[in-house]
Amino acid sequence: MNLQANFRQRVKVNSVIHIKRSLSGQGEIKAKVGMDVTPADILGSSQLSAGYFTVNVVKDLNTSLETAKKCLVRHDGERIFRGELLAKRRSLLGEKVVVSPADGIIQTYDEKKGELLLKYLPKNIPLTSGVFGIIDYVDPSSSYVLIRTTVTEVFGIFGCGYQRIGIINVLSNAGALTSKQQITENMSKQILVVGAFIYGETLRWAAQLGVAGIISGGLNARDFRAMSGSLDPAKRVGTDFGMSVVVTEGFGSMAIGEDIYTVLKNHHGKFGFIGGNSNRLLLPSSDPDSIIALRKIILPVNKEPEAFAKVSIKDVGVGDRVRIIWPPFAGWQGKVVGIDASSTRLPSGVSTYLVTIDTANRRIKVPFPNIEIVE
Amino acid sequence: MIITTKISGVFEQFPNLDKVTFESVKRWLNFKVEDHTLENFIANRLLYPQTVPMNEQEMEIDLSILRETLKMDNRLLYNPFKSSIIIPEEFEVRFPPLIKLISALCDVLVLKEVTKIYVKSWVGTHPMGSIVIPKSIHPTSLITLGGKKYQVKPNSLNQISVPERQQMLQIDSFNAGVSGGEFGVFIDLRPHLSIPSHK
Repeated sequence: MNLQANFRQRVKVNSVIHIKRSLSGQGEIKAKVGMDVTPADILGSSQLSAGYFTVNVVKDLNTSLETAKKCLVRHDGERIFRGELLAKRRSLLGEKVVVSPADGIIQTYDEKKGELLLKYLPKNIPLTSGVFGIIDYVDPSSSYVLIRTTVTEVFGIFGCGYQRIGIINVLSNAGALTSKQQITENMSKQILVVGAFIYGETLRWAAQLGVAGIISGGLNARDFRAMSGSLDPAKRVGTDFGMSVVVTEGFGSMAIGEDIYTVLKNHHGKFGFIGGNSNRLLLPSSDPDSIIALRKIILPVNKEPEAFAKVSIKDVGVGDRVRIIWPPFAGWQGKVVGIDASSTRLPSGVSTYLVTIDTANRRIKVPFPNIEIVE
Repeated sequence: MIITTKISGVFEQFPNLDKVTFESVKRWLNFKVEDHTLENFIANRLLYPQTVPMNEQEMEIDLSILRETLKMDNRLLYNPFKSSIIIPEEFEVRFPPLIKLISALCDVLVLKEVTKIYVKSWVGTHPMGSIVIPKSIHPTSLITLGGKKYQVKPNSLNQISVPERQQMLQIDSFNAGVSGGEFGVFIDLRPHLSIPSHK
């Protein structure tokens, strides 16, 4: 009798794909089609305006509304840099000054509140390549490029958030729970591997600190629904809450599978791309010679090069590497060493065939519908 | 033509599964379970609809999810115009024993006094029995079916083995012709519209 299970691709090594690198605002791409690029190469740059800020002159000078206006030393439309003088007041006790807390342009002075409104100076954001590769396409409106490159693709089960780039930082072991205290300010713009589970509060904290992405074995359904709007993969539209999240196993606490954790650990400290909405991590090859092999490969230009994990049906056989997808051993992986010839009635009442699996911890028997083939 | 690229399960057939709330599922359960555990269980049913429950408690949760999905949309199993329930064969295999499945269906489907049960398999659709929910009768423990008297449990769902042909059923002042079959006749004498509260 043939037992069938889903085969889920989780790790694809040496995959040649197109990576989309987009400007984060209005700007210009200088890279040209056919150019070879290295990870540090700048492809273009964009201007990003971060909004407005206010300075209360009356409060800072400890004076009246009438006096405050006379104390201003800079006026509407002027550009000012962080630490430069905005207003000063001389008194019997000495001189009080107000300096700008950031680079900006003075917009207006509100005489009723004694407040200066300033616009942050637009920041020049360079777009780096992040990979060894060849430019295959430059968008005519100059907002993105497609780079042909070699990566290891890691597919999660679900996630959310736009594609982001960052240094992979393996914070915990595969089965650990990461606390808020473990995520610090210096992890801004990094992709953190947090182990089996992360609470919603810690996720929000990470987003506040500017963390680029989170890779976790599991997540609470409630937190994921709050981020993505729906739990149903078919009903999810691309959402983003300032950070990308990829979950590798399922809902609840589940250790990151050995297959994925090993790849992430080998990539600790290196650049990676995380795309929550496509449940995918891209770990670029750090071998400069990979460009030589890339020259021999032609890829069709697909302007939306997002790919989801492929699931297909396969017969379960002795020797297959499988992952268990239902408690009590959810997240465990191992090799099939035997398949029962007759069915067994489980304590739930369901009759099904059991497969014997050798895991790193011990040999276990699991109903065949509760496994997926991974290799 | 539909090409199946992955193995799915019974829950994949319910498009509203993602709308089932843990609060509504919890009301059917007579054991304690943490809210977040139940919420994650339901969410994992969306990810892995092909998996089977390992123990009785997981089966109870699955039956409660089934009840809640049927409350939202009963068209997959129930035809009110023909007063019939059509159970896909995989449901019978997935939710044993049969009496628990029938009990769950009676809990949420607004059935008429006599409903025919069919099972649909790849070879066809076959009559298997009937469900009887007599309205406005006095509590009773004695029924007459095909001229024979049977003891039944009041306030319970009773299953009586009945051959395939039509039989006359009499309970108190209630009289009806019912079809038997492999499943027999289920007589639901439970007080309805009483969702058990969480203990």
